[in-house]
Amino acid sequence: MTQTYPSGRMYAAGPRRLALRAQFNVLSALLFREAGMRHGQNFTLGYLASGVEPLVIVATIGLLFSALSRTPPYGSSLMLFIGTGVFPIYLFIHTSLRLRQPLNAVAQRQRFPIERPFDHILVHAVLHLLSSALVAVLFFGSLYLFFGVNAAIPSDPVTAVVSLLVVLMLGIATGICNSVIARIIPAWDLLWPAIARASLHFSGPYFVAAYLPPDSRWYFALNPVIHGVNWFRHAFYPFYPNQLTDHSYILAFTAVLLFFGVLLEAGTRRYLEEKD
Amino acid sequence: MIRLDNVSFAYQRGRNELDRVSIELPSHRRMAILGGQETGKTTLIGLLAGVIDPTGGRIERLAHLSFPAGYNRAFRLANTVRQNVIFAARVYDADPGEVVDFICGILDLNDWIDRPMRDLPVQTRRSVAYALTYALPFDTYLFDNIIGPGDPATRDLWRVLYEARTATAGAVLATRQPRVAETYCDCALVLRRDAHPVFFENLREATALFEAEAAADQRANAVGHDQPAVDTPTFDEGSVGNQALAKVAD
Repeated sequence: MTQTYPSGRMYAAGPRRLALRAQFNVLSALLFREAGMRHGQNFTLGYLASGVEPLVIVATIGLLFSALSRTPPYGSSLMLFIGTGVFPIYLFIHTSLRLRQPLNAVAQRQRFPIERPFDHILVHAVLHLLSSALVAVLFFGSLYLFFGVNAAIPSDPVTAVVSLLVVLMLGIATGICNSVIARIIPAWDLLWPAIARASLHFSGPYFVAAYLPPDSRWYFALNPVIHGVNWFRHAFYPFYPNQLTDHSYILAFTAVLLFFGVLLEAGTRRYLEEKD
Repeated sequence: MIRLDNVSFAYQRGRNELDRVSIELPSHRRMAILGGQETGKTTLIGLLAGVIDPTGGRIERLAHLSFPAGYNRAFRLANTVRQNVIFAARVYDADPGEVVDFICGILDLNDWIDRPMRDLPVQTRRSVAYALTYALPFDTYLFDNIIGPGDPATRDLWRVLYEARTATAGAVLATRQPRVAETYCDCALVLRRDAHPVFFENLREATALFEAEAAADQRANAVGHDQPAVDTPTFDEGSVGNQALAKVAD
């Protein structure tokens, strides 16, 4: 069906063929606006600011271990070992925290109708990936350049990138679920940051999961983030013990959670609109 | 062309504002949506714009429909006016520079354009929102009750802009005042409570149905609540159309 409008523009079968272009416009405009904002306030480098947190955690754990004069649990550099654990974990934590915002009720009303919630989710996810990647590159790069840790350059860069993408997807899926849960049970907004940050210690930033006692090891293996951490460490340590690394587990967990999250979002949309 | 296919909408479960509406509406003409109170005019505008999603059914838009004119919820108050305008222009595929120039040209904004949105007086903020609506290229502009904020200094401006835009694009104007519809529109959709909406090519027939409906409503109210019927307000000829410039308190 072709229709001519007085403005001279013509559409074949409606404006749908312009949909891709409209999508691109929305995403690019959002990317540049959200990059400079945090909680609706202007804050240049707002996303990079969240990169400070993993650095602080790496520094404190590193200091503590040095003070206790422990040897690194694996490899020769303590900072590298802790860094390879904390960065993927924080990618997960921050993504699962920040992705609650695009779907919250107030934010949804403060948009042009052309911006859909999943545009915001995509943009926030990309910004998180970029900022965490930048901070991680700075951290590992400076370990290599200034501290002479040769292993800080991953021997298998593809594995490093793939594992981080999987962890990011896990964070996105968790974030979508959280956003819906937080609208049903508002206290979840207070509980989840605490749970997420506490889970840091169960995801293996300062121990090798495969060296845990065999009877408690399998409880740790239920945490999908620990598999992501192990996956990421394989990029740096070619002979990292892999008894507790199950790629299919974290992939399946992510897929199920993502499916469940999208389903939950679509299924409760009406209910939540009526509730608010 | 805008196709509504079995569209329902309810703010509360079991109380439908719109109930399974199937109708085809022109998108390249100046159409009024005539309806009394609580017949779903604003709801329909919101649904067409995509601000709210239908509870059931689907809306097929074969044209670029605007957001409801004067939509200002999307502004980020911490950002400057210029940043907000540029963002809207990018999202709606317009040249940001042109849009900023257009808005600066029609409003006297020179010292406000680079100030944060939250510093602006509310009246100016509304004017910016309406100017933005007229600045962006759409096939159909959606208006809910008013075509511009009824600020005496800019009263003629909005009328001129409306005429200029609707010379080349369509418009949908929701109103409950037949005079406004006659001044600004060529055809009309009449919304009725508990009945299907009817589209009229001819505005006079639409007005006739709307007034008959309103009179019947009043009679029913008068009988039901045992109150004297309220006189229909009279307008003086000189200010025809001014009702579209100031929000009428319901």
